[in-house]
Amino acid sequence: MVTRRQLLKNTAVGFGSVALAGLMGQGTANAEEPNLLQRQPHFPAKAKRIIFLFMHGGPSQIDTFDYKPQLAKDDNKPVPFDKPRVVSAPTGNLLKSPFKFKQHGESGMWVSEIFPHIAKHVDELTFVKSVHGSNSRHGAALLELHTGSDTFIRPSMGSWLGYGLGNENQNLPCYVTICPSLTHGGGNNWSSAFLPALYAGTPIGNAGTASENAKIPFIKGTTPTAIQELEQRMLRDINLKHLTTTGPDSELESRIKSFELAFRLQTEAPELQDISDETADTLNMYGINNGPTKDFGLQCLMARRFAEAGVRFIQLSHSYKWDQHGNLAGGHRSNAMEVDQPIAALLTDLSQRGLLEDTILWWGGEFGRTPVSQGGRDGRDHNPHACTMFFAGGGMKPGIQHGLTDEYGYYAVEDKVHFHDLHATLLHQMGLDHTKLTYRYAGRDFRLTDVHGEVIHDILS
Amino acid sequence: MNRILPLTVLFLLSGTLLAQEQFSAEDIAFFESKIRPILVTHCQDCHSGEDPESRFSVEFREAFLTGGEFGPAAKPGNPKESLLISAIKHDEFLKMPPKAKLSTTDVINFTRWVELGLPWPNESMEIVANIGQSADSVIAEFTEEQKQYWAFQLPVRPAFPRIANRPWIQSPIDFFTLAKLEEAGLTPAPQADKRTLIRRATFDLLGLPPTPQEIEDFLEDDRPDAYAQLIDRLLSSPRYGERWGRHWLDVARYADSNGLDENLSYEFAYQYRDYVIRSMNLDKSYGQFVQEQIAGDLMPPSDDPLAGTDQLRATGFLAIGPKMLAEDDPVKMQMDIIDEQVNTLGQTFMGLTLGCARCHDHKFDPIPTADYYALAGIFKSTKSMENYNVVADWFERPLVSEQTQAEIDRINAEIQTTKAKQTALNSKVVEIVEKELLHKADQYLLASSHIGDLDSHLAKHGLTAQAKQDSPFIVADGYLLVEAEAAHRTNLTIVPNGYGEGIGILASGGSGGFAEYEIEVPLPGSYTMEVRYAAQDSRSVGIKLDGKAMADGVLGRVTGSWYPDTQTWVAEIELELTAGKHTLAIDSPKVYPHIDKFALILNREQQTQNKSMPPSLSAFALEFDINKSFLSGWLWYLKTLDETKLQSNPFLAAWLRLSAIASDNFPEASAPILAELQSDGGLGAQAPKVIKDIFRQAPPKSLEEVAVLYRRLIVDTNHAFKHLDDSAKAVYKDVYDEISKAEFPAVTPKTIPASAYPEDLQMQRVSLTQQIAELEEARPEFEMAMGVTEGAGADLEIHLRGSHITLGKKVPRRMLQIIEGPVPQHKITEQSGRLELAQWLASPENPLVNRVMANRVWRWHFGRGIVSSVDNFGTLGELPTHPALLDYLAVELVESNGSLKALHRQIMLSATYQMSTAYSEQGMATDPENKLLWRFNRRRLTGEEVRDSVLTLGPGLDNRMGGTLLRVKNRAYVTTSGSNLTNEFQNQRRSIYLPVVRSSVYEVLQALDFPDPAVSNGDRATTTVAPQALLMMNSSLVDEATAALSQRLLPLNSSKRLETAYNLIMGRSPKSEEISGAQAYIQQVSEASVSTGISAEEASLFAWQSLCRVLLSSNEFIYIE
Repeated sequence: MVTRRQLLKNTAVGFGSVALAGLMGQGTANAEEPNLLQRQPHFPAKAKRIIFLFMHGGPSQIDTFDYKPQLAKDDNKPVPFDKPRVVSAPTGNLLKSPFKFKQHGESGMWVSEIFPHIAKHVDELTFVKSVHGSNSRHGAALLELHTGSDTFIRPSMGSWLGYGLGNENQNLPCYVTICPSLTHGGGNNWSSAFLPALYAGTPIGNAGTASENAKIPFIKGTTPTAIQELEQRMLRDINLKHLTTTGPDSELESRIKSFELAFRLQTEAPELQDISDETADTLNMYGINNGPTKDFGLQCLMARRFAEAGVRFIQLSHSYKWDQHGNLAGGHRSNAMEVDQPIAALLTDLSQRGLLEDTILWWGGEFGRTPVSQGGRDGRDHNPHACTMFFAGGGMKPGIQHGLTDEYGYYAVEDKVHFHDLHATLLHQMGLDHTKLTYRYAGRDFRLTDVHGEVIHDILS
Repeated sequence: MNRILPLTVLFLLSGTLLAQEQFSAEDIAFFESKIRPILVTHCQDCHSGEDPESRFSVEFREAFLTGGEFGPAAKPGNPKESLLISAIKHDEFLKMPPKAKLSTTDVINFTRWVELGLPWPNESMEIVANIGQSADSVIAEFTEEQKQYWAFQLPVRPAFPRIANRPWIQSPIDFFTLAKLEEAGLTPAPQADKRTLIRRATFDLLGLPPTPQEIEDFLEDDRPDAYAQLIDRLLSSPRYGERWGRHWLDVARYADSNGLDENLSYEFAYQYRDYVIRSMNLDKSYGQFVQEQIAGDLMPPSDDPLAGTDQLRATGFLAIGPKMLAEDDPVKMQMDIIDEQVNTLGQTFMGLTLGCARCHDHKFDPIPTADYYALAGIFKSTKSMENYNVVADWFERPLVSEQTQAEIDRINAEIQTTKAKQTALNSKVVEIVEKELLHKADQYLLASSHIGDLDSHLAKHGLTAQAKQDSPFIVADGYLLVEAEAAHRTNLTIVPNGYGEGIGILASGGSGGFAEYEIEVPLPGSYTMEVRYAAQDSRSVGIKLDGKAMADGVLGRVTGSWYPDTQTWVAEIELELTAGKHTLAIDSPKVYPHIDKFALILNREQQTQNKSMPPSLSAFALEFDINKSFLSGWLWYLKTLDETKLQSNPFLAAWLRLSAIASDNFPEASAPILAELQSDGGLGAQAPKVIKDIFRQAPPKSLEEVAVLYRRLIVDTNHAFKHLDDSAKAVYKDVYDEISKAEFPAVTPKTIPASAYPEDLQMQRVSLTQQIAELEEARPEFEMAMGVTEGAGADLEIHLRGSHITLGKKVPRRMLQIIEGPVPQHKITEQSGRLELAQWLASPENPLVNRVMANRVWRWHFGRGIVSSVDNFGTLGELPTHPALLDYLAVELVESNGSLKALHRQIMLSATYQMSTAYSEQGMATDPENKLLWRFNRRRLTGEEVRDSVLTLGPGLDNRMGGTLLRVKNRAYVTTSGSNLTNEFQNQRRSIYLPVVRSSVYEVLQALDFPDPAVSNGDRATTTVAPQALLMMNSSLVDEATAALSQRLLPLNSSKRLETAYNLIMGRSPKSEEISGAQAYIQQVSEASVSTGISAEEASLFAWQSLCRVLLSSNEFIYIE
């Protein structure tokens, strides 16, 4: 077979993105037609993009960042108040954290010993300890977190952003999700639902794929690039001749353009995923050369590269490992090890490149876990009533914590923040009023936050 | 807006509430100074007057007691249970006032006010009675405007409008379109040429390209009715039902999986799909088609067996929607499922967005909440689900005749009887096992402490991890040790780290699989299979020997987690093995435990004493005369105690300490431990009194004696709790707490291992199992289908704000009032009301159903509906561009007995349909969106058409009909972290037969605008985005098709190749400049390829493949003129 290299060497046809770009300039996007051109926000934005580090399975707030000394004192006693009305499984008595906590930074944030790297960055982080959702099941909670609804099919948050703001880069999708799980709602978590398909998340691999093998669908074929260049030129000729027989038709013209965009995407996306131009220091910093941190480290590095390239919403998934109904001590420790160094590296890297200023880094899972035990006193059940998330950059107030849980971390009790409030706040930072970002479908104006959501001004600087 | 008759709420104010409370002047003063001002300034704007927010008023004390839509606002004396207090604290879901939180002082005052019992001066309450009750009322009153809304009027046959250009008319339809054009001063585009027409009509009706032969035949056919003949030929093709069935499936939100949270396989959804295709091909009356999908199971069964079962398949329409199957709140789950049914029904048949009325009266259309719950009641009375567990099971039904059903019932009854015998046998065994467990507790304890960790014994025999790596199958005489991941054939996953860290395990993803091992047995005899595995939940599997099932439901023990540290040896089953080669398989359709390894051990009785035999549970059990299966339970239990629970287990703590002592100086070494036990510190601090007592009375001299003391205590405790009074129980309570735990090994397990059966009972067990298997074998096979059946008839309460927690008034089941009027015409008698609902929908008096369908058919022919919002005929939908034409088509549909084929004929024979897509400056200037149809709309092929055409032109299309391609078993996970599909999409069947996996749609169709299969959609969008171009450039679908196509072209004479390629793909011959262009292109690509060193022939093939890819990617191919 002909290899790409051979053809590149032997073909004298200088046809590539430069030549294709000529056609692209013609015509302007039809205002009615969904497009990724950048749009004015409702008001000046503090952030241009979001990187969501999704910890699928539900990390335990009380073993990570929500330090509860009283829980250790009352270990193995019954919880002195009512457990929730709806629970996913029977649970036992209070269970202290198997991990040690220490205060860090000038802000004196408490961090569990399993996050030694993130602990060094606490002064850059905004902790929200009173996050809560409504549903105690993975599937429903994932959908609620991603789309605002645990009942219906709704557009994902990333899709709303693409719809509202377009994309900084016209050659790339506005919303990518790296190695997402196909379970617990799967594609519904990144679908555009009734918004135009253009705004749907582009999955790069799935949770069943190692991140080094994660690719955009159809991004690479078997045809050598040089032959493909010939094909593109021939196709353009044929299509342009066809256009002379049909008369003006914006759809036919868009389709001609779409091939040129595809050709550039095909070049640009793999280049973004090709990390051979990164220094050894960078790779080491993200832990890409090391077993446990390799997979998520690579995801984090890709996130930086997509952010740099101008993608609006980038989601990473540390997939479905945090569901410690049992083996809490071992499981949470190894999970944390896999993400701790990469996340810290991403923070450092974004910060050094000046990207953190207008990028929101967002860490969290679909719910927290119960302070009471499950599975032989080394596990915890799902708990949608309290979980901790943290944010960095993009105009979030650094070095603070917001909201409180009760003395055991079971329920958020003060300054409670529902997923709807989070969505409202994140849209706000992106310059969008969540009550005004609407889309008319089936006779109704829909919003990401439905009829809920309040911007949490306390966590914004 | 519709006004709803306000109902009085006086009935809400029951006697006790009406009684006036007396408050002290001091308390009233407190109210007037601290509370009332806040109510007036912060609350009253919204919560007062005739129609207060959430129907909650702050103007009267009683209003706080009765509350609004969220229930009572305050409970006098009990601020903690008062919604008012949590709301002003912003604690819960309800935060009031919504914007600014009240000050802390205000909150304290309100709390005190509630504690005082809500003091309030004596005031009149009349106005309370008039608070708006719209959400609670049943009879709606509509305005004249609402009643006169165009879509709610019965369609009537319109008069033909006057037109000038009479010769243009070919069908009655043309009068209506031409009249509009003439009115706008527009001229219709000229008629399309025959080549265009046959391509258009063939794709339109069949979704496939015409063959070059068909084109030629049609061009040569100069009979006057050649075109009509063409339409008839196409309508009679079975491919028609596949194309138009797919349109319907878009509306019916068809899918082969649940989607949403738990994405399980709907194995039998295809029955509904096949029903739709068959119905289309049969040209079933639309009215019947509608009725069958709502209530086919309740209609008189057809005599024809297929039509009869099709009536049952039809209700799949109601069943195949997405459902939240892991909702912890079963009431919410049920209401969400009903909502999905009501909403889809409304949109599909009537173009109404009924779902809007779930939470409040429809804001734009005259659909009160009461009507929503009146319809929802019909589905509440319908059985769609078997249960609302997490994860819930949906209802399925066998597709059988009555006779066969009787036979099945008879056999099922016999199976039940046999199972009852099994249960009786089981209880007998339980008794025996209970004795064994209790009365040999000492032996189990001793054996467990003797063994400790079985793996350390194995290590002494050289069976270390290193040794296993070198030789995963280790054989001693009568002993085989096999690493699970060394399977010869498996589709399971080998997990080397994480769950398999350091040991390597075999596990499955979301669904089942198998692992087969070729083993060579040196000695014949009875073997025990001992397996080392970890499991957090019970996941049993089956064992097969040489292809024959030997056991089911084994490896079901729970060991504590999925991780290596809970890996446990368990003695599982007995196998009779002859010497020589065997295939042993672990096999399960469901998920697996995490299996590390297994051993096959020749039962000791049968073998000559062989000292080199490695240790095993079986060997130890024999030595101690106990059961090997229960022994593994004891071992596991003591191991977990050792590691984590020693502190918290006062019962066995002493045992663990004493059993660690070397046996030779037991009395000396045990003395300090026993002393500690009797003291107040260390062991003694936690030990229950009974433990102290038994050791005090008879200090043991050996570990054996300790074990006996423990055994007695266990037996006594058990006895006390079974037979003695409370005071006796109290003595043993601490011990009982421990031994009654489900995981305590002296507790009789739920499933008794075969090895615990005495021989005679074991034979009975085997015989009963066999009988059941034979009965199941004899049971006639039948197909299953998803669908619904009748449930218990029940009216629903209005759910205030859509919440199942705050219920309003109960509403009787009935049809929509705006259409049916205030008095129900289709009275619901005994059953759910589905039959009446179906009849009402299909009756000629229903103004919406036929109109909506006629409009859909128009939309699917022209790319735009006469009402362009095809799924919404409400006031937010679009008005019809040609109202008279829509009425005409709806009437025609009714009068042709609901024949869609007749409708197609009328439409396609019209001049309107036969227009070309020719561009016109004037047309574009006057009507750029072509609403008036001055030309035919050019359209892009759908995803299915692209795939089906590409396959037709390349490797060929497999025209088999029906059945399912989904290989994931029913109710198994279709997606987990990744997709569980294997190669469901790698075939040449028509696209309509490819499984539709919700939330993970096949990427080829996904890229080409396949609609979200979770929601009804009769108006597919067409986007033009880069991923579609990537699909044409890079997908294996196009690669393989173009490879096949070029293979087909290459043998042809070189001058015929391009001619054939153009005829196949474009449906025409190439023009001369196209010939020269293509020749140059072939030359160019060939040279580029040859220069890389490949053969000329290969390069030529490559070049032709490349050209085919270009032609298939071209707009001319992808668009229909």
